Amino acid sequence: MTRGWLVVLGVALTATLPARAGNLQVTLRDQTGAAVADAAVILRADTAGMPVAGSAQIDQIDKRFVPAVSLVPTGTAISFPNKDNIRHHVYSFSPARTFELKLYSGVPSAPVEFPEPGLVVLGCNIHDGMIAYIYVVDTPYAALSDREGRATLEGLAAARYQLEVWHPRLREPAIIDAALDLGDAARALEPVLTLEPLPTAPPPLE
Amino acid sequence: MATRSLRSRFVVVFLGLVLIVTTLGLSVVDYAIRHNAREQLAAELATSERVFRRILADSTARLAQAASVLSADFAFRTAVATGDRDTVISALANHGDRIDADLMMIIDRDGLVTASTSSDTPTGSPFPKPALFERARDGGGAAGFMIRGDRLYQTVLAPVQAPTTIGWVAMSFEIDARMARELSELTSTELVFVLESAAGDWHVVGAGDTEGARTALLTPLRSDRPRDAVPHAVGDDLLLASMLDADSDSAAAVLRLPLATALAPFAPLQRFLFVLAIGALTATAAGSALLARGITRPLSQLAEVARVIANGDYSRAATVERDDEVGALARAVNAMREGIAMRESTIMDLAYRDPLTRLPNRALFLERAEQALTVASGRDGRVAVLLLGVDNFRYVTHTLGHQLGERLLGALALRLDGLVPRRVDTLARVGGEQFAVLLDGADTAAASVMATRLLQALEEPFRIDEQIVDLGVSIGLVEFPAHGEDVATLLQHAELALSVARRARTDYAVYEPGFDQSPERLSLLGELRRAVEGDQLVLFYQPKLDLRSGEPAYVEALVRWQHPVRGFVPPDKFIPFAEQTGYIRVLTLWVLNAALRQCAAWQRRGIGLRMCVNLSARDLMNADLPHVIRRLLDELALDPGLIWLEITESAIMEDPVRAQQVINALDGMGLRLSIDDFGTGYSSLAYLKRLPVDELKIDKAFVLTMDRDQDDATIVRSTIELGHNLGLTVVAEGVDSERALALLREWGCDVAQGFHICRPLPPEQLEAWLASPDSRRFEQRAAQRRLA
Repeated sequence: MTRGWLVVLGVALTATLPARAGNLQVTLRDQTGAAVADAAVILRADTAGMPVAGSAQIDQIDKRFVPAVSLVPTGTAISFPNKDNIRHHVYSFSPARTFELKLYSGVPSAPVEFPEPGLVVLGCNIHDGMIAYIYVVDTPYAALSDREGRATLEGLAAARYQLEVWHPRLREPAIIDAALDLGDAARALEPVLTLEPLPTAPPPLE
Repeated sequence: MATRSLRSRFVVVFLGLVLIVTTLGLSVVDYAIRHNAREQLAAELATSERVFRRILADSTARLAQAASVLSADFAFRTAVATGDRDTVISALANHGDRIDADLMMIIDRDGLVTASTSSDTPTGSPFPKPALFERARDGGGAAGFMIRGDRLYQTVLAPVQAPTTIGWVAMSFEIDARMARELSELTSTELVFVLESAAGDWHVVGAGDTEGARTALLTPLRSDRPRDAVPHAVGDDLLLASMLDADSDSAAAVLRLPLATALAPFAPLQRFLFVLAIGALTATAAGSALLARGITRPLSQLAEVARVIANGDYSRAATVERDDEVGALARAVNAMREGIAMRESTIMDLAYRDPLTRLPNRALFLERAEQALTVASGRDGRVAVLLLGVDNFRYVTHTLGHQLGERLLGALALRLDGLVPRRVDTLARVGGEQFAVLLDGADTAAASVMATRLLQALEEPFRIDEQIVDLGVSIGLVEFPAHGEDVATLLQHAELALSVARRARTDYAVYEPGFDQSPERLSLLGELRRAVEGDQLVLFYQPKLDLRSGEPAYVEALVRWQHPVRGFVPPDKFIPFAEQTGYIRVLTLWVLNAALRQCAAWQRRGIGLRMCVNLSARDLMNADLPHVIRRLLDELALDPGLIWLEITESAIMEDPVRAQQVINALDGMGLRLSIDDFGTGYSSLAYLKRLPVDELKIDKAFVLTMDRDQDDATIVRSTIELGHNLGLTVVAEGVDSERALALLREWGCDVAQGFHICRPLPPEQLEAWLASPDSRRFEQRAAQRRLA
């Protein structure tokens, strides 16, 4: 489902750019060698231009955000339909977009717009376990890594890019390469990310 | 004293054993109680520690709950997320007040304090306990202890999630003295919290503890394994350290329980046991003392009885009336006492009694005399000894028989015993026919009175089996200390006095120093022997006048001793001595030899004198004597009829049977026999009649005085008549006057001898006298008389 949506997004992004032959495949691994999924691989270039804003949807199903990780261009309006039969109170204290959808059911009246780039962490005030991440990017070249940690960026114009990777377990976006020259040929990179430990559930206190 | 030591030994041993047992028992009980109490206390302390831990956990839970409530608050989270610091602090204070938390903080994801209710932790400073924070970050929350200066906090860190962790709420209770007191009450222990300072010293939180108390408190912490929460005994307390922090050993709670509390319930039991032990000891002491006394008292009594027995007193019996071994011992001692008494009395009897007369014997007499002398010499007293001898007792036994003699002695003893009634005086049989009387405190005069009484009592004849026996006794009398300083001397002198009394024919004689010349006598014997061997002796001859013819028809040989130094020794100086010592036999043989040779010589020269020789009592006992004389007669070819042997009456009486044998033998040889000193002995005429005697010789004691004493004259005259009536010739000796000679002639006496006629002369002078007219002066008168 998510995967399908990304393909659509990728098609959408490439469609807005002049056709070029360059592409980049990044395979992400963490310090333990494990594949890093759901990381946003982002290429920035002065010549890149702005991505085309669209709309997106994050459902709440079975007290979970679906999808849990979303990659959207700036200005995207995301609707949060509550498909559970209980109410949710979706909020974000993230600086990129602070908002609150107070207790509601069904589809909220208006979608939420995300005009600023950055990571937005969504939570539910009622259900602590519900967390969703939204990467809001202001570049047309961005992709989410798949389960194998692979993210493929295609149709890249030959230019000097800054390669960034975002991940909820990174305190700040990791700049993999600040000056990455990409030509017509395909490139493959396998950077290793140093991820913060997964936040575990609070231990039962004595 | 042995008894006391035995008794005390009893008590000491019993008491010691009981003391050991009770002490051991009390010690074991005490050890068990203490051990048990300590175990119990340790268990209690462990329980208390668990309770303490539980309370701490509850406290942590309260903190955690409060922290999570706070951190979950949306508004709070909003405030934190939006960095609204004032709101955050107020929210912290608000929630802290709900549970009386003492310190609240917000810490960001990097461990820096972003908000705090205390100025001690300003914004931007690192969280005071990084280890705790790290634990919280890695575990999504943490609880623990932290130290701020000298304050101890119990702290909980809870994440602030929006929805990811954007920071931490820290909520703390300060652990102070008040809390320690509360915990003390809840855990029923003395509980304190201790901190380790930077310098490594421990100190008690919020309490001004003394150095000693702290030292005690910290003992468990200084052990090798403080974390094991092992109880430590310190003094009378049990302490246990409970470490508070998982991150470091910097804080702990020390729980203390006094041992006394665990021991308290046992105190009455121990008191009871102690009293019981004291009671047991007292009872044992008393019991063993009683038991010991029950043994030692009769033992002492028996020992006393044995001592009394040892001293010779058999009158006291042991009076231990018991059926046990001690009683048996007492009975044995009593049996022993009776046995000893009986045997001693028998022994005493054998040793000190004369079996015949039942009188004390010589040994006892000597002993008593010794005692009496000792006592007397101590107080200047006197003791007299009478020695009573039966005269001629041997004759009595010979004539009457030995058995009768013994009965006679018994009767004599009985009679004497009745006369010596005083207990202090002792009558004893000291010899065959000798009795002695010890008169304590008596002098010679008093003893003389007693002697007289005894003699009077013995005047009455004894009647034995229809026989009447008249016993003659003599008594010698001595007095201590005049007559001797010791018993032996006194008895010796008493013997002398007795013999003097016998010789003198007095009833008793008191000793006089002149009686005793024994030293002189001893040398005399040797000298006498030399005299016989060395021809110092010579014979003098005293003529005897035949009153019918007026011729000196006989001579009596008289021995004379011409001592080379002393000169002439009179016969009465050595003849009695020679008789006593038995040397008289040798002397008699010498005299016989010399006299018979002289007689034979005279015969050859035509001098027809008959020779008279004296025989002593001992010569009559000599069965050889007749053979010796016969050999001599044969050698000299001498007519036995010329030899007259003069025998004293007393000599015959000493042993009449043997004397008669010798006399008969001599008579058989044709020798003539003459009874010397007739009238002084106690010979009975009936006995004399049986002897083959030819002549009677009237003792000169009568003859010397007959011209003045009418009695003596009567005796002489009747003796002459008696002799003639018996067919004997009669000789009178001691004729020292013409008147006596005339009287004798007138009374028909046959032969006269005396100084008036001629004194004893040596042979040559006698021959001269015989040749002189002096020897013829009686012939004429005899002729005249015959004519008349």
